[in-house]
Amino acid sequence: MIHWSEVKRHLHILRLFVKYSLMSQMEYRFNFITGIVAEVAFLIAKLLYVLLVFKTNLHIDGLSPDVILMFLGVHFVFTGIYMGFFFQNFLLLGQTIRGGALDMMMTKPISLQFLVSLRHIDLGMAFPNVITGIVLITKGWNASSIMWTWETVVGFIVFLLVGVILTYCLMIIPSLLSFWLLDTSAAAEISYALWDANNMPASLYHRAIQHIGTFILPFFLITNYGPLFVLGKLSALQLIWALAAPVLFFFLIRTVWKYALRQYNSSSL
Amino acid sequence: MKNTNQYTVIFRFGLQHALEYRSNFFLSLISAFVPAVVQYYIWSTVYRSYSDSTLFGYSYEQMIAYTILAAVVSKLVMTNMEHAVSNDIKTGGLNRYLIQPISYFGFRLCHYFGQKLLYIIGFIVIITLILFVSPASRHLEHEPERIVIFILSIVMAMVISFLLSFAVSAIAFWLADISYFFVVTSLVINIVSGGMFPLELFGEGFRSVISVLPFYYMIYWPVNVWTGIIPASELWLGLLIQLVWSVVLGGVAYTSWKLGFKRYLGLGG
Repeated sequence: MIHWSEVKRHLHILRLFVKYSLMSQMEYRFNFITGIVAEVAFLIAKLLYVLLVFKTNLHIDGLSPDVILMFLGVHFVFTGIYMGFFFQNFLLLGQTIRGGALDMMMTKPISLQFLVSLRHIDLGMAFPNVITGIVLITKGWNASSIMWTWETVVGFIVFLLVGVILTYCLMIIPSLLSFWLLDTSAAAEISYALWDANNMPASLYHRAIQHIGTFILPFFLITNYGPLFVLGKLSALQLIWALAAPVLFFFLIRTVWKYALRQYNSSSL
Repeated sequence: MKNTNQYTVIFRFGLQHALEYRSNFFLSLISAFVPAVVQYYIWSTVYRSYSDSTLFGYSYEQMIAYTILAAVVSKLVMTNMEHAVSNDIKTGGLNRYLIQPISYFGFRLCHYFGQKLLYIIGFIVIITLILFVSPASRHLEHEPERIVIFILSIVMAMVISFLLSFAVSAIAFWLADISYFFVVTSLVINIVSGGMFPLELFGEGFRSVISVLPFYYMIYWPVNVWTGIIPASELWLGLLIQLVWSVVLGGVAYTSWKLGFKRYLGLGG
């Protein structure tokens, strides 16, 4: 049962998180700017794939380089969302669990999962990726002669929302392992590598990889389904799975979180 | 004799440090291969659609060998020690090396090679698999001289990379908080060394410019000794250039640390 007053309260708190995160970043402006510079450097490294696609005139399963640009664009948008909203929180979650600081956070009168997932927001990390992503999507969209109808735009936005939920569910997994493991850095490293690899149409890969990336660790739903929807290449079954997967995975993560909390015993306080 | 023992112990410390997180090590090897897998599928798709047998001067087998080896060699040569060194400078950790009969340079060098021993073993296994199992490698010629120079060039690449990192780390004597700077430099060095893609992708002009810099000899050159892109007549010359760069970078590292120590305050420690 959803209590809308609770949702409203959490949205208000999210606004406060954004405000206070921005205020604390402005206190260390040099760090804030160098952080953006570092993010831009990573962005340029990822843009080398755009160079690769166009220099080799890469066609994947009938998709032209212009269409592939949309997949890359969506990947950039989600990288921005992940870096801006989740990355730092997930990084700190492991330390919070290991250091026992979670005890104090449990006493706060809001959802603990919400608090640890969204308390630090870094819009500086998000902007370069999101802006570049939107530019690439727009260029790819226009070059592929896809009509700008309200159905395609609304559908695309719905798939962006699906992607946000799945980004959260998949990328929090290494941090959740901190409840049981001392060092989860390699698990995090693999999740970053998988994330970076998810910038191409799934049809590039072997069928087994496509199935794993769609049903077991559904990274492909994040970057592939939006562009495939506007291209009219999603089957009814894929549409149903795209809408069911975020619900299913959020439920799974929520269940694991509750189970992990029952197992948790303060580490060092 | 006593000094030799000290450095052997430090080498062992480095190895123990790597062994302490051995599951982490194996998982990090997996993460190193994820981008190589993506590129394997991209290059396979590209070569299938091309009528020419070579692209950017590489045959399909050479490109696949480059993709796999560049991923492994970049893991092997990248030191990632800048953060630890700058932390020692910032927090006064260097103090103990000033009063103990051991050089900080020797400590870092032995620790680096000790830490990389596991990677070297993994590297040998992968090279053996490529040499004897991979169908891609059957088309590549591996005369004994080339294999010997390849092994020597990897050792020299590790030395060049270490000296470059050591020289860059000295910036911490002048600037207080530069963690982002090291993230950016590591990324840029990896790209211009050919750790992501062969340098020919960026154009012949770019490759020519990089070829007069030490980065060229860190990943691109050793890997292409193996693929056969480097002609047999240039093998020994390249090794000599690696040696020259090691001497030059050794001089740069020595001078920068000598100048840096004049500013060292030895706070904390």
